[in-house]
Amino acid sequence: MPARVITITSGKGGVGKTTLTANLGVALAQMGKSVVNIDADIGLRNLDIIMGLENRIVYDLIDVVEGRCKLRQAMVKHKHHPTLFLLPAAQTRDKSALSPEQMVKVVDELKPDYDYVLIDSPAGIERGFQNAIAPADEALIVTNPEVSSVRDADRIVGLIEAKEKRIKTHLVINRVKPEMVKRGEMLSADDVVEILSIKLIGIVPEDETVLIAGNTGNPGTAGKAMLAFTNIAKRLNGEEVPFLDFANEPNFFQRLIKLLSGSNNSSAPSS
Amino acid sequence: MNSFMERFTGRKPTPAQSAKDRLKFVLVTDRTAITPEELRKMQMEILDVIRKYCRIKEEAVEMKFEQRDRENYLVADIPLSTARPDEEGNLIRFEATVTFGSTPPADLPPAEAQSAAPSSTAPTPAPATTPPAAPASAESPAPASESQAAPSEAGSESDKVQVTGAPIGLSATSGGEPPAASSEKSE
Repeated sequence: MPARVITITSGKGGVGKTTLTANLGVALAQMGKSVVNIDADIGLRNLDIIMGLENRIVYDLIDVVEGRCKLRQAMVKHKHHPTLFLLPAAQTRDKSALSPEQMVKVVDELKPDYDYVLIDSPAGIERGFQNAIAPADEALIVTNPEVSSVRDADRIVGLIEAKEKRIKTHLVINRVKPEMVKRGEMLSADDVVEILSIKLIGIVPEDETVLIAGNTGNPGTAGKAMLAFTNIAKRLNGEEVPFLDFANEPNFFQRLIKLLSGSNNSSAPSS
Repeated sequence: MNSFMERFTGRKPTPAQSAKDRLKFVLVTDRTAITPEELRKMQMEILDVIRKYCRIKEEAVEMKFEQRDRENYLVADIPLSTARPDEEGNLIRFEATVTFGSTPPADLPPAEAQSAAPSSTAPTPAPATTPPAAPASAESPAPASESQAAPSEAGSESDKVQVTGAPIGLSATSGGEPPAASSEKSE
């Protein structure tokens, strides 16, 4: 079966597309799937550094497109996950170096041999986004529960609906802080879904270990967030996974009571 | 003290609620490319048209955009007020609410009409007959005499407000009842 081609996009920058692409790739690979992560952010590449593969790049996507190397030569296999690959972006060029048609051609060449092709889209609605969305069958729209990213996400969904009607969109709400939601200070997942009206596929909590994983170049090691990323991978695979309720984890006293009463004292989330 | 009362009565919106309301508002303009200024002008023009046919309670007019799934609607609540004399020459107030949307009323769920403020004041005094001298096309309530006790019975079909020349379908309710078979323009 040919690969599912999924573009991870958002409109707004900095909401977590690259992190999601990296960690989702790992999660899918851990489930036994073969995955190619493509960095479509020509000129501002970051998927390589988040995946910890920045020292292993020899050729990139533009080299492939301009015929300086074969596609397989540009692909970097992940050190810990042998079925996960990175096709890096060029750093010394810009978005005009690539066209949507060329992107489609590259992905078509990959499709027969892998289960998933994940395309990390750059921010914006211009050429970079158009390149990234051209080959997609599906899109993960990433947003934070805050006004500017929701607004931009709405624009992106509108663009996709208008121009690439065949693409199935799913929503990922990233960097949720359950305590702030409880206090009415942050939009809830329900709020965001109500406003954007597309199908929700993941809620990822704010998690400091994500920063650490990025710093050390070890995707897939983040704590609560990784749980959420794994659930997204499962849902992509058709599994029905209930959304984690991070807001109702046991607090210190509840855990103390649990400990004293002899039941397990793990600090894992209660859901 | 003030903010305590506000929190107690829930009147002050939370930051999340503000965010949600502001987003919904701004997304309407983003999606439909109608600026707030254009929306204001459109409202004025729409009200001008309605005013040609019926009297409006200006202070209670409400027009806004709504989103259902990924479709956008313009929704207006325009309370009408018509004072007409009965046989004895007493002024009777007939109140109805016109609700219309930017899609054909076939798509308009009954709940939309019910969201109109139920304007079920019993006419005083109860008219003996239905006065004919109504503004151009509005029909008056038939058995309005019973309406003191049961406002919801104040004639459903005859409460239709038919405005010819309107570019969008209309449905009218009285006393919060969903429209029976809307106006001639509807389907």
